[in-house]
Amino acid sequence: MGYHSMNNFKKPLLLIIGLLLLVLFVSVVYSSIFKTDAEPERIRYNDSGEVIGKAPFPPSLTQPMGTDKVGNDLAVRMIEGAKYTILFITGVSFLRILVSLIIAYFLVFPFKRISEWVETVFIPFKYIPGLILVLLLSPDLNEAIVQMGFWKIVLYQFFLFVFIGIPILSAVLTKESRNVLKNEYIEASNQLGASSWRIYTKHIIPVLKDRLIVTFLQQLSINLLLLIQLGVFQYFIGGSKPGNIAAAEEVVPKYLSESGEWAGMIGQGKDEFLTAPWTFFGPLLISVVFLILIKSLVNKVEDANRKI
Amino acid sequence: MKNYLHFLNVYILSKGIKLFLKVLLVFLTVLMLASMKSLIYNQNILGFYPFEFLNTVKTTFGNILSLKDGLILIPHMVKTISVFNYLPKAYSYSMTVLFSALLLGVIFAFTFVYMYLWFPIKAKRLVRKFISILETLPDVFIIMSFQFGVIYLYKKTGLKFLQIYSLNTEVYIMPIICLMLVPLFMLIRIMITLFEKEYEKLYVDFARAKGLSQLEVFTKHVVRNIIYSFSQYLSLIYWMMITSLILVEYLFLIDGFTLLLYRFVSPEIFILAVGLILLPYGLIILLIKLIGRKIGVPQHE
Repeated sequence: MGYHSMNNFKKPLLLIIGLLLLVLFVSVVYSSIFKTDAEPERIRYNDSGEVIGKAPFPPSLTQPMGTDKVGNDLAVRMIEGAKYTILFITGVSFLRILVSLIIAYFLVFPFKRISEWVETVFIPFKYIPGLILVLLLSPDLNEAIVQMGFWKIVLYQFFLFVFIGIPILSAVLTKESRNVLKNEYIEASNQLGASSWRIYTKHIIPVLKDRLIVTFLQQLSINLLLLIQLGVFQYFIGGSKPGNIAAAEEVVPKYLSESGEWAGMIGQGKDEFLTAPWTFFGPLLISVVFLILIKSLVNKVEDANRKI
Repeated sequence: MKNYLHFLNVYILSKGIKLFLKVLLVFLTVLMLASMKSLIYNQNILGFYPFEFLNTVKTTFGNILSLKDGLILIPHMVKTISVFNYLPKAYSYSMTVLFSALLLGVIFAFTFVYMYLWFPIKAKRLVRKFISILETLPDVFIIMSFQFGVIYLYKKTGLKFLQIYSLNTEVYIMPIICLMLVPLFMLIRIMITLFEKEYEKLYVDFARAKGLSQLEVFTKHVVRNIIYSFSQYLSLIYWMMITSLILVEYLFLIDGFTLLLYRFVSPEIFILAVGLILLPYGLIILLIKLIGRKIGVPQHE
């Protein structure tokens, strides 16, 4: 099964990696070369100097996604923020799978006897929503960013995301590995004296390869969904910066995502979803397109596997 | 025979002890999770604070045992509120919304799939593709689009037939509809798969050949067999809806019970809230077992 299906999932996999790299490339190149430090325009005047509009401005030909409440071009912010979103979700997904594979090895072989109890410890992670786990284990971002700074916060959030997903994934991979173990050829190689690590890496993981690719894609969308939910809760990767316009007499403090990461952009537009719907639905629609893309790739890989 | 019974007793006893230990372990894990922030953060400074952590665990455990009345922060009020005053009404409200939405979702999905079965094959394929795309829509997107749509309609027509926000009054219609829409497409997909699997089975052809009408085959045989397979998915759907319930209550400014999960002042309230989301889950599992016994399907894993 392993070899024949390779070609079938190679194409979509290359496609998604290519796409991710392209977006990453554009995002990095854009912010390192073209970015200007010019103050965004908050108030627009006509020729005779009268005020004709105040940010947020709706989508137009020059600004296809409109601007946010302090006048930043949203399309530009999305391009800049894309690198954070993509690096974050691919990094989290990859590390989660890697760590879970190692934990699954220990639960299947050396610690077989206590695996039942370890899996019991995993249960709460399955039943408490990821959204709640992240909020539970995070400090107050607005205060912590003063103490820790931007990158330390991002790093903490990264490892927190990896951590909360590991128990479920390890449990799933342990179960799948045990299913593969039931095959007779593994019994044979066991009797020939193969070590358990060898059996795991040479026999079990290759069989699970197709599954792992689907898992990776699913993890990408799970993590993006979680980011969006957290964004709505005004929890941003890299914290937030004050978004109040100095002149406006707003009582409730409003925040902008510090990094411009996609889900943070969605979250910062939440309160204006009626007065300036583009600030909320624009970034959200782009994320939805991304999610649909991943889903269709998953379908393709699964169809290809089913045919064999 | 006597010997056998003796072993059976020991077997049941050891199983019971094991189950008890497992429940205890799950409880301890939740306790650790609830107190974990004090292990790594002290006044928002990252570090390692084992003594503070042990203290938090100890007081939290003590507070649970003494059923101490804790405090929560309500978002749009500045003051804190006692949990035991707040909880009964909020919990019954949240559960009403959750289960009405689940019931409505199942009814809608069922009606849709019943119609779907009569579609021509090409239309079926199209519908399946469409549902699979709709299923990927994030819950945030569904909830906010619906809210936006209703307010937009209200602005255009001036009909205020649906009240959106619930600052003071308990509002049911909008949250229930939103919460119903979130798992609807997944429900439809699951039902389509189950029905198509069932229709491939031989007894359907046999019943048709015996002269039963399409409708009779559907209601008397197919549905009966599907209820059990469907109930297996209920727990998955329940967990999905809990996350959406948290979002719906947050976005609609509802004082529901889910805010206990993130608005607590002391960790024991978090543990209480986790227990309260597990309670209906236990009931669902029980219901599935009962359905299985009633229909007479063998109970296997």
